[in-house]
Amino acid sequence: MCDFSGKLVAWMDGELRESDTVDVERHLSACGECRELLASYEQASGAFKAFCEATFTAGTRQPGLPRQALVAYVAAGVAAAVAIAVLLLSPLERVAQTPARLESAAGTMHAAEEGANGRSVEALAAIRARAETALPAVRAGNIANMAGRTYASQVSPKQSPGSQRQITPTPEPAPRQSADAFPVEPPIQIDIPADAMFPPGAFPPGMTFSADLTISADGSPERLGLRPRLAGFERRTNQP
Amino acid sequence: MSGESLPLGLSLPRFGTRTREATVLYQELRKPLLRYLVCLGLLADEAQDVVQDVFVKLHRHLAQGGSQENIRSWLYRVAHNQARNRQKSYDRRFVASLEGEIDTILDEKTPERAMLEKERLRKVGRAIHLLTESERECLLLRSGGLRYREIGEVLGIPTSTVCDTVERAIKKLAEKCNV
Repeated sequence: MCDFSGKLVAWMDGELRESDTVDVERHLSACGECRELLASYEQASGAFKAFCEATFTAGTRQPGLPRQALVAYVAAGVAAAVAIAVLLLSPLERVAQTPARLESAAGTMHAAEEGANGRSVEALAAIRARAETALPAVRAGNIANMAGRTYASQVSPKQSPGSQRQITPTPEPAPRQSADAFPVEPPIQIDIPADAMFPPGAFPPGMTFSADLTISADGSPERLGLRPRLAGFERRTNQP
Repeated sequence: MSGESLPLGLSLPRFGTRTREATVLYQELRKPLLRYLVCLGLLADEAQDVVQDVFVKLHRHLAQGGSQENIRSWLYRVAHNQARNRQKSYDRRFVASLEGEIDTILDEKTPERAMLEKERLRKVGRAIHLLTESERECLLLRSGGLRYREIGEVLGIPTSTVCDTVERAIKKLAEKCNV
């Protein structure tokens, strides 16, 4: 063991007199054993400080869950709240908009048909009647069993020749009279010319197509189907 | 001393009013005092109470024209004595193992690093457990940035004794921790 080893800790702490400090530093430059000892003392000193800091951190930490668990619980709670909100609010919003949207779409299409030959007037009147019966039901609060049902709109096989398939947002209808009216989004009318789908003469005059659109609870369309219908022989559906 | 020596030569006449002196001292020494008291074994609330008491006493001390020499030593000594008076909780934490709390300390690190850190801290804790009470106190005050002379004033022992005690404690720790 080196004679200077007993002064290494004091030298490390800057507690030696100046003359002793010079001697120790000169010795350290020549003695590998003392340099190793000094490194181990510094390591032990650092470990003690780290332990004190860990003790202090643990002692002053607020009692409760560890941070990771806390974050996980908060995230799970927020996710559950969002899921419940979506489940509760999405059908309400969707169904609340649907009758007005149907009505608006029916009105728009009725105006279009009036400009043409009026072959689908009866069918459009049926849609309008369904929309009018559905709206009071919604206002009365019968909204839960309306989510996910199928709503129908009419597509005429004869549109302006040469027109392309288009999705046309129509302007918002006039505001309703009652104060408790639901907010109405601009309806979307899908015009599909028959020429774009079928060869000319494939269907007799007077044939219309009913587009069945199923809306899921989250508001996205689940199924879209076209059903041919002959004007004048309106089949009664059990849809609302 | 390497590391966090506090910037307090603490010949207080260089400060202005007594209120400002106390405020500056509180800002600089509150956390080191808290750390010292918690490491001595006080609960966080107890340590907060002691620190508040210590600074109230400092205010009175300065207001009564008490000595302004070595205020840091004075604060640590008062805090140390108050911790001693709460003897019931004094040996509760630092001597005891931190096994349970180490798990919560390191829960934000990566698993590998956390595992290594836990193991290292447990090893250091076992080595500290083997130190005498005087050795632990000397190392605690030293890690708080106090000079040997100040440590001697806090603990009421000669500076040479502090020097020997610190050296002995560091050698013990190095022997146990660096195997």
